[in-house]
Formats: sequence, structure tokens, C-alpha cells
Amino acid sequence: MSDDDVRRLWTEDELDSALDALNAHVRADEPVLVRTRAALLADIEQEEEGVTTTPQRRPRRSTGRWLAAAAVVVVLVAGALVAQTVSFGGPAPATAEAVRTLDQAASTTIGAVDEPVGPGQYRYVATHAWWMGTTSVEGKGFAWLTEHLMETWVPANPSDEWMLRRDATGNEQWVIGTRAEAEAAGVAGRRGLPDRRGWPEGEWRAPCGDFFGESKCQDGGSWQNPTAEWQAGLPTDPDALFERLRADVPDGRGDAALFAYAADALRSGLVDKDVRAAIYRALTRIDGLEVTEEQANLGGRVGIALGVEDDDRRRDIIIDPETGRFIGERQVATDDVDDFEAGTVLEFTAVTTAVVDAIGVEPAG
Amino acid sequence: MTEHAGGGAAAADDRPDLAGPHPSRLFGQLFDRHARPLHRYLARRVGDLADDLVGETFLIAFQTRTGYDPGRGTARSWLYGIATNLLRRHVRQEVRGLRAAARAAGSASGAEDHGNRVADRVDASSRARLLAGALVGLDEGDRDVLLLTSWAGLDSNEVAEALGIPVGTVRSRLHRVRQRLRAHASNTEHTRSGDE
Repeated sequence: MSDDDVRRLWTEDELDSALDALNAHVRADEPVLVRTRAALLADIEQEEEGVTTTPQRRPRRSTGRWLAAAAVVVVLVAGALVAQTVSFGGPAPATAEAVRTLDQAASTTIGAVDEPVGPGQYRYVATHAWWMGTTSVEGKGFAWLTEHLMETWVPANPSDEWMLRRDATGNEQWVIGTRAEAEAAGVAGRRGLPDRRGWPEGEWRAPCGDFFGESKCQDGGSWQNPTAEWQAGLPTDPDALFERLRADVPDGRGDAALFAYAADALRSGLVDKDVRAAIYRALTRIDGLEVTEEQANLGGRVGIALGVEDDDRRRDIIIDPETGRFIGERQVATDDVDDFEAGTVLEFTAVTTAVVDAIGVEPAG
Repeated sequence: MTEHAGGGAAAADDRPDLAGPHPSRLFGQLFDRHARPLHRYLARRVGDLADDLVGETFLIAFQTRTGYDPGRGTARSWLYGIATNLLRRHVRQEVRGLRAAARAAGSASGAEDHGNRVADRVDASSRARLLAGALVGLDEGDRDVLLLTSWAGLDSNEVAEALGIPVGTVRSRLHRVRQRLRAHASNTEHTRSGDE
């Protein structure tokens, strides 16, 4: 060891690049942030109204506890994977049907044409997200899905101004209990419940889509922020792309996490068709992937659902088999957990894109 | 110089009167402005726990809002100060995560054929692993100063506000920690690459 005494220090730049790279690929779960915001505002309003805060309050709690249980399992799995480093002997590979579906979707996608965004035009991405709220009163649980419409206008040059419009549409679907029961129990209209209080709404404008101060103009891109430059740097070979995905997802959290990262990119509506096709092909390497429904209906649009189990739920992406287009995604309970029966859709998101001539303008029709 | 929300340049207008009327509107705005970067910062430090810590941070901020003095610092540094205190309860989780990151099977091999860009990225990620190992050896206070600066993007004044220590202390600590990491992490690199 004494010969090793001639040591080269890292430069300041090398230290900074290591700092930038460490744990860089974390994802924000938007529904969790929205629930957190609603719970916060519910707490604040409760205090404003002079209602005494009871220890078990907060609409988030029920889902929070449920999610926390999921998180614990994820952590344990991560530990196990770290211990055995490389070799897996476990889950089955993607089913032949899933591989065939994805290969076909990839081929169709490559043949498709992405409508180009000309100078002065915008790519319009509409995301209809149905996210769950829960609460309980004296042991009686309520759960419902609320529709959030997020519309994004993306300029031809990404460093120009983008716009985001968020709207809680007021549409809801009851999963456990009914609105009438919730009102009778005295929970509707308060605590950010079925009314729209607490959900973020409004318009934001910023270059690079950096609406919330995440320094996206300096960001090199990621699965969660798939800039054109980032996409250009991805390997085109499916195996290499899969390895890249594996490397980008923090410490071996299993293939379900890989699937979630890929879905983050697809959901953006901004992934170029060739990259989309490559992602489809890379996903055929996901262990446990299977076709979970031939005719999955996502807010009126029907496609083929492919999913992978993630603890007590299943994540599905839904693809239009005719065009290879990504229609959206959903999460489905696979076990009876808390008050949710297996098969319950816990949240879903449908994405559409178009090209429009002006910021803030919705496509005709 | 262009300004956009959340960056250091926006600090001037980040001093709301949080004790004023309409707290739900104030805190809704505060959340929209700061929650995502805060979540990202916390997730980089303690993973999934960030989901809960963001909510706790804002709830504590609301409960202690009369203690926030806009004259003494930005809302951002105040929020990161609260979050830093909450992180203290999860040091073991953080250290466990860093150890796992240090051991993580890397993608360093077989990447040459994808060109320089990928090679650069692989360099950065293998360096990140070495750094993770070195971060384990820092004490919490040093780690806070380093990561509030590097990951949260706070300047020295904001770090001082967040941690309640003099700005001179922040600068000297940051300097010392960076020196130490440059030496320690590269030392590990040297030892590990000895067989190449």
C-alpha cells in the first residue's frame, strides 16, 4: 500500500460531477404530492375553522399508512438484492404474449409519423389523471378518484416559454362508499374532500417546463424529464437501453421500479417515436411482465394493458395495438389491502398529444 | 440574467408574511413553489421517506409560522431548516442508503462502445459510488452543509439561515468538507483501480 501514496486529488469539477450524479434519478410521485398538498390545506382550514384537531385526522393517512407498508417491503427487497449483488434466480421473464405485443407496438411506432412542431407552434399534451383521495370517520372508510386535468404547451424550442394549466375538473368516481354517505357522515365539503379545495389549480409559465423551480434548464434530462438532448443520448439497442434503465434506477429496487421509470418517460408525451419504440423493446426484458387485459378502457380509450406486479399492486401501461401509441397507465390492487379489494383500480392516467398554433390554445375537436 | 422560480435569483421575493390572513392560500402558494425541489432533495437523501417528510415539513411550517421572520431569511431556507431537523431522525436510513449506493453494481463495464458521452456518464456514476462511500464518514452537520449547497442549491447565506449558524462557519465547513472528499474519495478510487 505504501507505493500508493502518490494520490491524485479529485478536481473540484470531478467532485461536483460526482455530487450531481449521486442519487440523481429520484422520482416525485405526483399523486403523492397532490395528496400531501390537499392534506396540508385541509389541516390549515380545519384550524382556521376552529375545529379541534383530532390525532387521527388527515385524509392522507389511510393511503399514507397503506403506502408506508408498501415502502417498507420495497426497502427490504432492496436490502436483499444488495446482499446478493448480481445473480437473480427469481421471477419469470416477460410472457411471450407481452413480448409479442411490445414488439408489434414498437414496429408500428417506428412506421408512424410524429406530427412535427413547426416554428411558433406547440406540442400540446393533455394528461387526464384520476388520483385517489381517502378518509375515514369513526371507522368508516371512504375512497374516491378525482380527475385532474393537466395541459402542457411545449414550444418547438424547449428553452422558450412553456405553459402548464392544471384543473381539478370536479369529476369523481367513488371507490369505497358514496358521496351521499360521505356527506351524511359529515366529511364531504371539509378536509379537502370531494370538493376541490386543496388540489392545485391554475396556470404556470416557465422556460424548459421548469414550473416548480427544479432547475430544468440546467438539467441534463432524465426518465422524468426526457429532454430531446437526453433522448438523443440514449442507446438504441434494446439490451443496452434496458441496462441504461437499470443503471438509472436507484439501488436494485426490482423490475417494477424499472417499469415505473419507463412509464414516467412515456407519460410525458414528449418521447420521440424511435425512442418510444426502443423503450417498448427494452421493456420486453422486464421480469414478470404480462398482458393483463386485452381491452383495457382508460377514460374511454381502449388499448391493451401490460403490467408487472409491484408489491400489493400492479402497474399497467396501456398501448393502442393499432398505432403503438401510449394511451396511459394505471395501478390496480392485486391483494385485499385495507378496504380495497383485489382488482380495484387505484389510479389511472390517460395521455393525448396534438400540435397547436398558439400557447394556451386547445386543439380543435 | 433570466429569472425563474426557485433559483437563487428568486430569493428577493421569497419572504412572504406567513402570519398574515388567508393561510391556506399562502401555504398553497408556498407548497407549489417549494414542495417539488424539497421532495427531490429529501428523496436524494433518504429515498421514499421523502413522501412523508415533505408533508411534515409544511405542517410544521404552518404550525410555527409566527416564528418565521421574513427579515431574517427566505421562506426557502426556513423550510430547508425544518426539513434538516426532520432528517436528523433518519440518519441511519440515510447511511444505509449511502452504503447501498456505494456497493451498487455499476454499469462501468462494457460501455466503451457507446461513445464518449456514455463513457463520461459512466465515469460520473462510478465516481458517484465512491462519493457515496465517502459521505458515510462525514458527520451530519457537514453532510447538511454540503448537500444543502450542492443538491438543494442554497447559497452560503441561505445555508446559514437554514442551519442557524454564522455564514463564515458555513463557508469554512464547506471548504473543509470538499477538501476532505476530494482526497478521500479519490484515495478509494486509487486503491480500487489498482488492479487495472
